[in-house]
Amino acid sequence: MKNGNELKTVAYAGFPSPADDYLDPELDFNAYFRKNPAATVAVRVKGDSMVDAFIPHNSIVIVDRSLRPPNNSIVIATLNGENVIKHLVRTVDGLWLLPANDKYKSVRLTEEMDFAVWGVARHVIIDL
Amino acid sequence: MIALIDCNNFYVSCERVFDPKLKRKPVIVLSNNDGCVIARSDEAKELGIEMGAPSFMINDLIRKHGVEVYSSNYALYGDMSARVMKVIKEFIPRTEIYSIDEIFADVSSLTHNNLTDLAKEIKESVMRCTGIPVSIGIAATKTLAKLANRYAKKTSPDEAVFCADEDWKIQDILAFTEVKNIWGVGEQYHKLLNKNGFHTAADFVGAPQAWVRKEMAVVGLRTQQELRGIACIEWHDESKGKKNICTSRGFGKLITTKREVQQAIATFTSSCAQKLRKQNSCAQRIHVFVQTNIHRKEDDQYFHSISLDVGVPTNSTRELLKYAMKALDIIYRPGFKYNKTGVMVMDLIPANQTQLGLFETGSSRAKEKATMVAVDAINKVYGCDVVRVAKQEFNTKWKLRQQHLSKRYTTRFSDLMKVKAR
Repeated sequence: MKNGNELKTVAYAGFPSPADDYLDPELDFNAYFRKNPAATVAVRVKGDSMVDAFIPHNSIVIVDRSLRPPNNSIVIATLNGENVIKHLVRTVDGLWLLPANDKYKSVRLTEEMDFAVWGVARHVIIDL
Repeated sequence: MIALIDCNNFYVSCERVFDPKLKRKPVIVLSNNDGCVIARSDEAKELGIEMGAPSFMINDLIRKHGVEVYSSNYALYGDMSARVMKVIKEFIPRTEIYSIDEIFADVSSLTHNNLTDLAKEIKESVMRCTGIPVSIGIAATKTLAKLANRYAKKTSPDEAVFCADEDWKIQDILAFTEVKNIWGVGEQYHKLLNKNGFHTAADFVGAPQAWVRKEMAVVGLRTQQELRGIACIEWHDESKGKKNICTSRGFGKLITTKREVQQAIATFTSSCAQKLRKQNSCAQRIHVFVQTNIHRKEDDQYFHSISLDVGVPTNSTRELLKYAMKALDIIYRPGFKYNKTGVMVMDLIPANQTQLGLFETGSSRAKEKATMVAVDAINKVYGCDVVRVAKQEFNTKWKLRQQHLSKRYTTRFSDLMKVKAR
């Protein structure tokens, strides 16, 4: 069972299956979504400020905390005691947290703000 | 060289990872049933909240300073602990998990020429991947590594890394550490040592060996040797499995009927049996205890325990339960208000080394084993104890009191951390 072939390892009463020697393990979604399991956390999105980045309200975002955020990446951050999800953008006039929805304002990060990147968003799971 | 890596204020740190509002606030975590303080943030320590303080005695402090209070959320702490250990094991293959928040790592075979740099790298990586701050002490023996860890935490809390790789560093640590803070020195030896003029670990190291052997027996001698840099405490390889398994808990309220005590014993026995099967062991003895609440001076007090041989070594819930119930019949006395019971399975041996009993057949064994495999498989899919022995019942009156429980952020889809998109 360990090789993930539980659906395929049936014993045929008549002829052995010609596919026996070519079996692939089943798709491993855990491995796909969790490249670094110790640092991977799933979070629930509340609100619609990231809809234009394909992250709707109530979707699940898979976060890798081990990564350093590349410019323009989508991050989970703590901002003044709250967990938020935004684009993290570095421009000539500083660091910005940008929404992906015109209804919301961008935030320019300043010294006084209590800000830290919590993790980098890697995948979105949306129930249809 | 051995490293001891220790998570700082571990339970509080776990809560803080998922709730940014707790940053820089006094936070405490309470034991099962919200009884007493078992973890404190630095801010809570500064308020004078002691480890082990009963929660009802610090209510005023809590209210006055807005201390954030949490029930222990072991589902969360267990998962976070596994994550921390996993990150560490990627750096150092030979490790020994000592407790939920401490791990020994054998760094002697590594090719790093600078162990301090390695420790810093591990600390940084654990922090980045899990959000948990750790302290690291490195020294020639486990006991010294423990001391080095404490020294690092106390003398440079921000760096929190110390490698005792030179003699003057070891001397520093020994002079810094009071005997009561030496790993393995209990209250009694602490007093004995002080009375005889040994106040620091350095004093103790200088004590005559014959005296230590006479007054503190082999254990004391071993501790002294360890402090001198001679490794005496063996390395427990994790593959070996545990030697004893214990499940015990206080009740959410006082219990006065035997039936309810039986329910609890049945549940704990089932949990022990599951753990036995998980590590492929069988128990040869089972130990059961019951006790009343010693803090309630107005109640009559009772404590009793007993160990029974289980005949043929087993890890079957049903077989162990038979003996657990027999044990309870012997020690249970009506008329008391019980607040805690526990079950321990002992003298464990590998499951494949058991022998048949005199009146058994191989097929009855195999059938029992198959039943347990099926039970574990069903419970794994449908949840803990969906299939249970009848004695456990479904009444949960004695279950834990957990009034300040946080979410199981990492193990339940219904409990995921919420992130704001507004």
